[in-house]
Amino acid sequence: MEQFYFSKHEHRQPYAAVPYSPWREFLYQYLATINIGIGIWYFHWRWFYSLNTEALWFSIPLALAETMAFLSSTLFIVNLWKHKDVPQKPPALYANDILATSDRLPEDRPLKVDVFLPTYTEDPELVRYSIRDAKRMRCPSPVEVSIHVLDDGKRSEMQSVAEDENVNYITREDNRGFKAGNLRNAMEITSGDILVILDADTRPFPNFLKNTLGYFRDPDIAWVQTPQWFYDTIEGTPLTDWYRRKLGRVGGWFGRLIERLIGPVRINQDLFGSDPRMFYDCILRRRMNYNATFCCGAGSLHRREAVQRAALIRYGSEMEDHINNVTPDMESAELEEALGFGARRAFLADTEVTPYKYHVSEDIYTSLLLHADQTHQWKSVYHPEVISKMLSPQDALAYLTQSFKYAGGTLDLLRRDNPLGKPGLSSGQKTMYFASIFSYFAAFWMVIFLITPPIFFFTNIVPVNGFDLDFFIHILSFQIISQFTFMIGTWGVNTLRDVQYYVAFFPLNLKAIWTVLKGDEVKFKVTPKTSEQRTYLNLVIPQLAIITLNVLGILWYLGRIAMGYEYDLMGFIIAAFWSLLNMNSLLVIVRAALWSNGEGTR
Amino acid sequence: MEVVMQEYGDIVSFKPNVSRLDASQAVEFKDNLLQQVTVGKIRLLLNLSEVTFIDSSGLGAIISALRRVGVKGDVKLCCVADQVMEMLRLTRLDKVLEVFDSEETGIANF
Repeated sequence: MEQFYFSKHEHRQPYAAVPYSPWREFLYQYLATINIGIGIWYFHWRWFYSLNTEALWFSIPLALAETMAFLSSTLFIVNLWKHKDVPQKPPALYANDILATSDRLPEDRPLKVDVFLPTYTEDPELVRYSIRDAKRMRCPSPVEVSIHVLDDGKRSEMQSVAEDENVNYITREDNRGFKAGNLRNAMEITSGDILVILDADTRPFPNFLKNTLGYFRDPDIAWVQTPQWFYDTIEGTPLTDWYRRKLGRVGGWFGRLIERLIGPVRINQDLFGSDPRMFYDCILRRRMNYNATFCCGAGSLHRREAVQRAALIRYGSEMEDHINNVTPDMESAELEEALGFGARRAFLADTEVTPYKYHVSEDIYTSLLLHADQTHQWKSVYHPEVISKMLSPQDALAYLTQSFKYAGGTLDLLRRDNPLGKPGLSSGQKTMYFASIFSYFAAFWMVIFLITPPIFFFTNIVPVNGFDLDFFIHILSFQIISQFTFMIGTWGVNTLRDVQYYVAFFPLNLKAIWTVLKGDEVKFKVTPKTSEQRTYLNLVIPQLAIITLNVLGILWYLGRIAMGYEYDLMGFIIAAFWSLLNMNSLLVIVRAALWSNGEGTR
Repeated sequence: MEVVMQEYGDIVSFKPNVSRLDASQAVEFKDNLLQQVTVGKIRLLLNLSEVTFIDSSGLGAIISALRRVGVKGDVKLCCVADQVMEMLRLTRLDKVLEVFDSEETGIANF
């Protein structure tokens, strides 16, 4: 088979999901409760006793930003509250195994599974890897599995690969609805009871079906999401080697000493922060507690009936709304009927039944609509074990484009179908969907956190009314308990990159918010890279500006001290501490923009 | 899938001889219906007297035909079982698809 950049990563093995521990969960809930209690105590002090009343223009925005960040982290605490993994069951083998008693077939038949591999521009030889792995999935007898390549690119090379691999090739005349439309088209011409959605680069492991088909024995399970594991993230250089290269043999000794003390460290490991383990193993997994695990596309299995039924209900309801809009209470019943008939016709002509919502974030949107189905209480499952592997964006542009799409798509839900007001969702589901959207608003308070130290450096004004003992008692108690709570809540998962990118993504998220507010299409527009250009510094200008501002601020303040002007040493130490911490996070995205190792191309 | 078809002027009555119109039958059922539309038969009366169970894929096939017949055509139903009627109500498609008690009434009021 053709070799790609990822061929050298084939040996990599996935992580094992963090094992459940009732003691750790209890400790987390204990700490989380204290965290919320101390948080309320801290913010009471913060708003009523700590504001610098002589500079309210500075202290109020900061206190507000802190309060919003606390609200956001409270949602996160609620998200992580409890594990509720669904026990794995033996795989469903027959159609009746997944049906409710009232819907069972008089004559049973083997369960049918359709595996969809949607593709558009991906190299057909790359898709061949996914096809081969899909063919290698162990299929419990007598389940019938059909693999379909859904090629929106209408490419003869892709068709040849599909034929060569003896799998079905499906294409269509237009590209309406992109991936969601591609899936809709395939659903119309296939009939499997369960649909498996893979991406063109998703390579399922042999146990994929065997370990997941059992969940559908519960007739209320609509879909199962499995973790997305990227096996091509940057491996990084061991600290010892890195120091040896930079500082010679002495540096090597120093590096080894540090690694002996704190364990292995790899410089630039997963520089793009693509590893989504925190999202899957912590966030999505624990949303099972609220039946709010949403579908993330690749690596998921769906009950055809659930997806199709929710789509029809939506279709009927949208048509009703459309007709009602055209025929508001009319005096003439005949006229109303005639207009209604015309409206119905127009709706039918213009609108397709779309099992997967045509939307930039079709996965989370379709999940929300299924959870909100008032005619059936659908359940979703997160399967914690990694049972497939896939590829991650290999440069800053691809990575930022993908992240922007996620941000814009998720934010757009608030505009179209605010989960907080969505009938059919439980309060837990409303909270969890809202938490996903709300997390992107962090950009607003992040900007305030990032510019607070420079404001101090240049004005010598502090946003609190003094750095006395009371200040340290409050801030340290709150910060320490928060750090411990999240350490236990995310135990076993490295969250460093998640935290850094949470800070560094502020311009991207602001742009996404602005795009959605304007009602524009969620699309990341950039100037195409020229052949000479090897880096993407142009994509991280706001982050560079903030770093510059912080560096200049520190120099300015040092100059102020050196020149003998009035200064606030404690204020400077605290501001410099936050400033360095913020710059450390911002520098990650700058390093990612500068990253070029010749990978990402064949 | 066995289908009994009868023409009444420009109306075609279309009776699938299956008890379950589910995902496993829906593709063939839809293809049969669309074949009629392709040859210009756009006024279709679906006689579902044999169908005791329909799922969303079966209903989806009917909606596909309804979309395809265009402004001048129509798709109507007759002789529907309780479960089928329940599904139509659940999806609110009873507001879109007119249902008659018998084939004769359907033809007379098409």
